[in-house]
Amino acid sequence: MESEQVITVNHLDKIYPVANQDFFALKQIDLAFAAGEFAGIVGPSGSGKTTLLNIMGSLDKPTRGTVFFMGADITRFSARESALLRSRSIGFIFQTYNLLPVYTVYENLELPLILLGMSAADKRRLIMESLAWVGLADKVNSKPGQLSGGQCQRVAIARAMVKKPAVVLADEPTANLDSENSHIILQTMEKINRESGSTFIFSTHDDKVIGYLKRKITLVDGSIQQDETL
Amino acid sequence: MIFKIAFKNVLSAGIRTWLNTIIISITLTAIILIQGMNNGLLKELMTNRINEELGNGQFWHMNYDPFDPLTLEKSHGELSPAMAAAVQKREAIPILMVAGSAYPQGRIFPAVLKGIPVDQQILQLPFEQLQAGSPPGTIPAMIGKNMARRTELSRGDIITVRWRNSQGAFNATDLAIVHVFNGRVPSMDQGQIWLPLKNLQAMNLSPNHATIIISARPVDDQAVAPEWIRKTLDDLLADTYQLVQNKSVGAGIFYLILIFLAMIAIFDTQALSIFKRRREIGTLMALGMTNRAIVWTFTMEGLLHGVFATVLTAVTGGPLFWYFQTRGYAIPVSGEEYGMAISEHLYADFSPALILGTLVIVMLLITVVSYLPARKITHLQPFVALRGKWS
Repeated sequence: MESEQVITVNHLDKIYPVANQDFFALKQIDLAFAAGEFAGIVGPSGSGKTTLLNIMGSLDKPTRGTVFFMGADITRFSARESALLRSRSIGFIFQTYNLLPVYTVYENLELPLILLGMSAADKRRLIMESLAWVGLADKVNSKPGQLSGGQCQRVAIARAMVKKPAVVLADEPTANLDSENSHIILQTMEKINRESGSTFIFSTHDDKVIGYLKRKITLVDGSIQQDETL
Repeated sequence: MIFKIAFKNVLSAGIRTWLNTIIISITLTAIILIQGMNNGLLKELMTNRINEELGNGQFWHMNYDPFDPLTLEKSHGELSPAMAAAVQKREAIPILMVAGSAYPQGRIFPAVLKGIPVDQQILQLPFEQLQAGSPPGTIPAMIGKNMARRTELSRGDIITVRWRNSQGAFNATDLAIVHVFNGRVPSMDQGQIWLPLKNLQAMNLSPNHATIIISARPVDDQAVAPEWIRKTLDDLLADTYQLVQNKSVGAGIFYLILIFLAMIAIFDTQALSIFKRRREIGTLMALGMTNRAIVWTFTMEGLLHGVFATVLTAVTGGPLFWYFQTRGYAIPVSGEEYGMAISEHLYADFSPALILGTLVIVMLLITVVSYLPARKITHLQPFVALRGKWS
């Protein structure tokens, strides 16, 4: 069954030791995401959204449980295997954009493709295609410092999408943006989701984002309280 | 990929890159320059001593002790037939040494009287001047400029010398200073009075005797007669090697201090850079870069400072090296004052081995110092780095 899903999370716990006691950041999480979903994990601060996203993105390991990513149990992956998975199959979008300031927009998008060992011609084609998706083809030679917050986040989306990943994990992507830019970003991601078929999973507590979701998973104190299709 | 990322980061670091590059460049320049001067000093000392004092090796009479003039009386012997033949063929020159005293204008100076063939062609000092005529009743003699200064003698002066001959009898005669030579080797000058060999042999009642034989050919494979000891060039230059080695120890401490400062600068920059850029490290991890690749990127950044410093050294230090190699360094006080066989200018000697060796050592150290703070990244969890924290 797991192979039909992009991501399957089984009986997942994440425990942190706090003052000689176990603190459950995530408790018995069971989830599955199919290809092309546009889903969000919502909940208040400290509910475990980012931790769950990190574990599904192979940036962190659970204390117990398994996470199958396209059929492979990534909780057993070595650091190198995790890096390989991230470079090939996962795109990340962060709240603070995390663009490399010394690189141009083009070079920021080129970096994930360099890691995949692509030819110069393929890189150029994919970068321009990705920038066209986010409407920033004219900013190809700009540096992040020369762009607005909304433009930076669109570049970050383009960077996440440039390698056409199976899954895009977006951690509070609109938290640093005003309302207008938030809607632009969300509309952009919705369009890309439709056109590319990539699975988008958000962590958010922003109502604007929730309005765009097709599936909402509510997390409270590390446990799933509700999982609803919208 | 690693090089490209590192190169961009180093260029964008601005003043930090420049400061590191400059301090490494100063270190490289100082090490190469000082080592070049030391090599130049050794070369000059060796060349001057070989040309003016040592030839290509020597044979010493078995009793000869250059540090004890009181033993000179018994430190001479007749040349072996092989030695005499070599002298005949102008492949060797015999030198006789006799301890004596000089009495210039009523003063007294201890001196070693040295007899040398006036037509010798091995040592590059003007002993042919001893063929010049001298006033009746005097023997022609020549001294070095330092001896002349100390004894206040000059060309044309007549001095009385007193010595004890091989039979144990004291005798005295007048010498006429026919030439004051400008040599570079103190041991050929200070306390020495040079006479024609035949005259000194007659004064000492020891015809065909010599204290040392200077050879034009290497002595390593030459037969040694009884009573004589072979002294190769390495034996004779041992004190010079020791002198330069002692200087090198002092210079080595200076290099260590310079390298230490340069490495501290690199280490500090690396540590600060890794601390400040931890979110960037997390981003690279999220994009799929392995921890090892990130460590090497940071190591490469440190190493690039060394590469930039090499270029800067070539541009700024190159002319300096050229100047000291061709124009030399004017020594403020004569080297002879320190008992060193050097001229008024010291010329640096920069060999490719010196420059490449220094570069390789400094680059290796930079690599190690750049790697040490960067290896911390190998233990860093991606989600921790993304939060901008270390633990």
